[in-house]
Amino acid sequence: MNTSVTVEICTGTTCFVMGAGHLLNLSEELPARLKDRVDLRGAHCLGVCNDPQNGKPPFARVDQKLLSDVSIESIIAACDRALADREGGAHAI
Amino acid sequence: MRYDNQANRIRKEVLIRVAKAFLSDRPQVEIDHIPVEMRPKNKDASRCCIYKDREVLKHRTMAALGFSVEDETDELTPLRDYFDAALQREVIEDTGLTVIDIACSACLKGSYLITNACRGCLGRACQTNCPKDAIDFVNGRAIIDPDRCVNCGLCLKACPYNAIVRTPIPCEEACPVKAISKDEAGREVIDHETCISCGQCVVACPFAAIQERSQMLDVLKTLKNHRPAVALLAPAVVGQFPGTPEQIAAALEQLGFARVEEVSAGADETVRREAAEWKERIGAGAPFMTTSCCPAYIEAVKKQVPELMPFVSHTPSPMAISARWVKEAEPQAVTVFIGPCVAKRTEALHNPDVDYVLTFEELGAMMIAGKVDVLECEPAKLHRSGQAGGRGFPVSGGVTGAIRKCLDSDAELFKPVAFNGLDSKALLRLKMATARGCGGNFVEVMCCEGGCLSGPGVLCNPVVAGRKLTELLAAS
Ligand code: FES
Repeated sequence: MNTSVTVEICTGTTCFVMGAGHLLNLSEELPARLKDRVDLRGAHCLGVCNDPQNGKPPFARVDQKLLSDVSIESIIAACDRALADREGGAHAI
Repeated sequence: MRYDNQANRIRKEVLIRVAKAFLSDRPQVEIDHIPVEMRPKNKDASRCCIYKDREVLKHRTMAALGFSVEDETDELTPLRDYFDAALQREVIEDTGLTVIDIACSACLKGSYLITNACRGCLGRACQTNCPKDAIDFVNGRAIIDPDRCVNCGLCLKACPYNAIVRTPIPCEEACPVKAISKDEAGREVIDHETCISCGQCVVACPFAAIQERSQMLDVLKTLKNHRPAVALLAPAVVGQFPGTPEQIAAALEQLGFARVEEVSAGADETVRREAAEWKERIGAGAPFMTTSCCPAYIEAVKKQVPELMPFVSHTPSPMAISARWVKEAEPQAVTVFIGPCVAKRTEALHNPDVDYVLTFEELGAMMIAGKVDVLECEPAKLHRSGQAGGRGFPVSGGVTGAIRKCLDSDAELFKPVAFNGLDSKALLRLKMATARGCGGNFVEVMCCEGGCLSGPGVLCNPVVAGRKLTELLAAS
């Protein structure tokens, strides 16, 4: 079973300026339960910043799921959800 | 969270919208619509209602156009009039921070508050320990009389229920010189005679009620009119944008700058001159010399500790040296310093060589509005680059390290002391140093704790930026 989540923080200029630059120490901020379980990557513009329908920058993708207006906390919560989904399936609400 | 929170993001969003409006076909209409577009009907409000939010946003837009909220004489003046007036502006005449009074939530005045966790116990340790007899019991609960309370905090320590909390006023606590305080209505007001423009309150206020007056529009106008503009990039640019320094230079050229120069080159020259000046002064018997590069510190000396002035180095700051070089070669060029610093605006106001000052936030807003993605830029040339010494300026201890390297044989005499961050205690120590010395003969003072990488206008987490700087210095 694949037990790590992929987190892509967009570092295109729009996302970077709107806050992604402050999220780049995410790997150090991860709680112990997520250490070694998150595969953190930077990403060029994810191509979603031009359409307000997608929400506000900074954007990130956690296991392919797009998140907007992200913070360290919201990314951590999304990682927990993604892992719970994989492991438990139905009870992950 | 100190730099990146919703308050900070809203401020940046306003800057982006102003830059977009400027670049659009109908800027006046776009400008007028900013508050409505940011708080449309049927959407949530941050405050009591969208109408108050919009009014606050109007004032934020005014600040982003370079005006102070106090400039509003007629509340019905539309934003487009401010926009037009901003376009008429030829020179920057004032850079003082402005408080959006309606955004200020008038934080509680007394620092200590007894919460409803108070059990009105028999012991009443709070009352017994209060040296000013400021605690009464009403309806079986302790209350603090604000007139008698001296904010000593003994009651908080004494309460066995942890029922007493301290409620700070973030801007007042952040201000190193007590320049911000409440008026009769409880709203914060800046005393500009005392303010050193360090920008700490701007970062600290959770309501983003304190704003800088942006010079972004002046720069956008300069670029649009094809006046030759030279971007002077502060050494603290490390980590502030994605991509390489050469790509950042290319992004600036795409925005219309004629070329980009690294202020770290000016910093190298500052080091050479400051080292020579130090040798001369100490040789002549001076007890110590302090640095001159941090503009908030210089303002603090002028306004708070004038007796320290004779100890401050006369060497121009890296920005001043870099701007002089440009103006000497090309008197008609427009110089735009770009950095993390709010106080540089004040320094530039008194230096005719520096035309405008932008923060990284403002430059970021211009890039977004201009649809320039740094990572997609083909590298361009950086003119005048610094060495490791000048590049190391933006962290506490950087100036000291560079000077030490420059001293060679005199290095043994060199006894540095660093003030990493300016607060009232540091100011007091500096004041005392004029009479009794300070245990060293070279005093480096940085107003922002950690150095310029922690300045109010940064876009990158200071820890991450610091790591990048270390890498860069290892490679320089
Ligand atoms: S910059 Fe992040 S989606 Fe475009």
